[in-house]
Amino acid sequence: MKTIEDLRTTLGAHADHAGDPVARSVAVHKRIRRARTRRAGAVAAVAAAVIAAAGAIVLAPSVGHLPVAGMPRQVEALHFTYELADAEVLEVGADRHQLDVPAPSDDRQWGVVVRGADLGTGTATVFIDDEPVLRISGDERSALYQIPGPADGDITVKVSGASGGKVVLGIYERTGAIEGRALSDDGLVFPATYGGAKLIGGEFGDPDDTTVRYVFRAGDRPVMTAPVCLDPTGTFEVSYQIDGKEFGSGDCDEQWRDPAAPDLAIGSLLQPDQLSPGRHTVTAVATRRDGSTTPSEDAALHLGIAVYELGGQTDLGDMKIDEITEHDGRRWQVDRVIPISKTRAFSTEVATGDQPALFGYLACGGSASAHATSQELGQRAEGSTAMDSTGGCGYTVGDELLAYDTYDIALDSATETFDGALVIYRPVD
Amino acid sequence: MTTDAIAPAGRGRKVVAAEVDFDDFVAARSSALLRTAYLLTRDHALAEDLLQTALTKAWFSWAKIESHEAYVRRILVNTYTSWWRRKWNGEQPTQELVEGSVDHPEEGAHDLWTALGRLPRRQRAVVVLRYFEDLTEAQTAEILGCSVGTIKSQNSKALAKLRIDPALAPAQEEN
Repeated sequence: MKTIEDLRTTLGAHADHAGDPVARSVAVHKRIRRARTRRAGAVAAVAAAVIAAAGAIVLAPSVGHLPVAGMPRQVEALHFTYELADAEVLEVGADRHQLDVPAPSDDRQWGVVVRGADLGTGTATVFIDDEPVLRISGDERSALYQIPGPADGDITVKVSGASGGKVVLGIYERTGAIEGRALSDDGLVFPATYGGAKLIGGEFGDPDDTTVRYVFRAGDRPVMTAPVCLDPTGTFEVSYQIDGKEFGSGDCDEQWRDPAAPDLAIGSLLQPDQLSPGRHTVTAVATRRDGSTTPSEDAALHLGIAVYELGGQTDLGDMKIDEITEHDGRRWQVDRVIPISKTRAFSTEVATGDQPALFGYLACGGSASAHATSQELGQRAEGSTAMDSTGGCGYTVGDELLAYDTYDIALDSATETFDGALVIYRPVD
Repeated sequence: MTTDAIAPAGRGRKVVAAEVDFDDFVAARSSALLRTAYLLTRDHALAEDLLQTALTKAWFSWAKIESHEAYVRRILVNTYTSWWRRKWNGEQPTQELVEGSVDHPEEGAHDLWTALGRLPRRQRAVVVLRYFEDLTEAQTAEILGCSVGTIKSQNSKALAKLRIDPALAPAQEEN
């Protein structure tokens, strides 16, 4: 390179070869529809208009099918309310053991409920995109399962062990209602409870506020803070303070969003040191990467912070875990703790019975991975989990275990022995 | 129906000149923005992906921003510079990009284009904003969310790297 002019010429010449596809507007709107889950709550009504305009409604409410016997018109499921949008019925017969319906492919929030009638000891298992998510037997009705984001495939119900009876699959769409005394703002929600923790209160900033402050009164219970910072331009980062002392920091990206409930503003729960009872202030401060707090005219920064009172804890010896946790759109409570000592491989069988279960595990002193294999389906639960806790203890919540099944749960370490515990949870509601 | 009519409205801010229609903007300005995206990514598909990502992000704030093009450009550049942290679209996180396979529009530009491809993302963004977009140091600093001093330093390092890049050595020898 001889001159800056060479540089300008090279850049200009290559820029002319960038191409110019003509369908960009359509492609962008498609992305907007998908990404709109990020703004689900407050703009739900607006979002529906976009979908309708694009002619992309799948599984739109089919009033003609309602009401379906045994299927509630509304279901409450972890922070939110769902309304029956459509239902399909499978009359079980000699060659009729399976029902397939297209999964909702838009980016609204959907859930499914399955109900059996006269299945006897037979079971009906619901699969979403080939992953088993619900199972009921006899005349039971399942809890609602939140479909995690737009699905591309089918919702399938497979009946096993029944020669007659009926299975109803209900497709539910989330309404704008939020459970309890939650705090919401512009599509973000601090729920009234999270796991066993209870919302004390919180504050959202106005658009482009770079500081948000919330004053609260601490009691005897420990507190956790739930900060949220969104900045689509990537200009800002954020730090969190309690009584003026920093206790955490992070990016203002959207990596923390739960695809099944993208408006839940619970990306991270930070537990500051034990606070003395009395008045305290938590603050979220967004700063530009260069450290200045100059407000930006068009950064569209969205900042908030909430404080929760910690719920009950279960002591695992080396670590305490929350007695109640949230996973797959349900609340789960610790049911059993199985200690594990000095081993490189541990396995056990867990028979779930008439309720699903969830497992978690603690590993101390080594890295461990866990797998749950269904004896009924002969397959591993989706996504084995791994944890690197070398030198310390780490706790991970693993996979959900369907009802009416027995699972082989195996924990192993490729290198070191580890101590720990296997924790089995059951649904709270 | 225009997209502007259904874009989420800003709270508590007077919208000035908010009648800029999103679709009209995409039609009128996205070709220019695509050129910037291509100079940053050096890959046609990634450039299109980057631009669409930036436009999608911008849509959510459309009603409450005042300078739409500057806003989209800022998202575009910052999304690009943060790719390495997010493994965006499966891209491997690398500080120094390897040379992509591109056609070379004119004789003699090839070596400089290759050398540009070896610049770290942030330095390349500075070069593109300063010498393709013709932005001032202050405007470049505003977009990248850093100080003017940082821009000066990044620009200086980028130019120094370009001058000593091995890709330019044969041409320099010939000269």
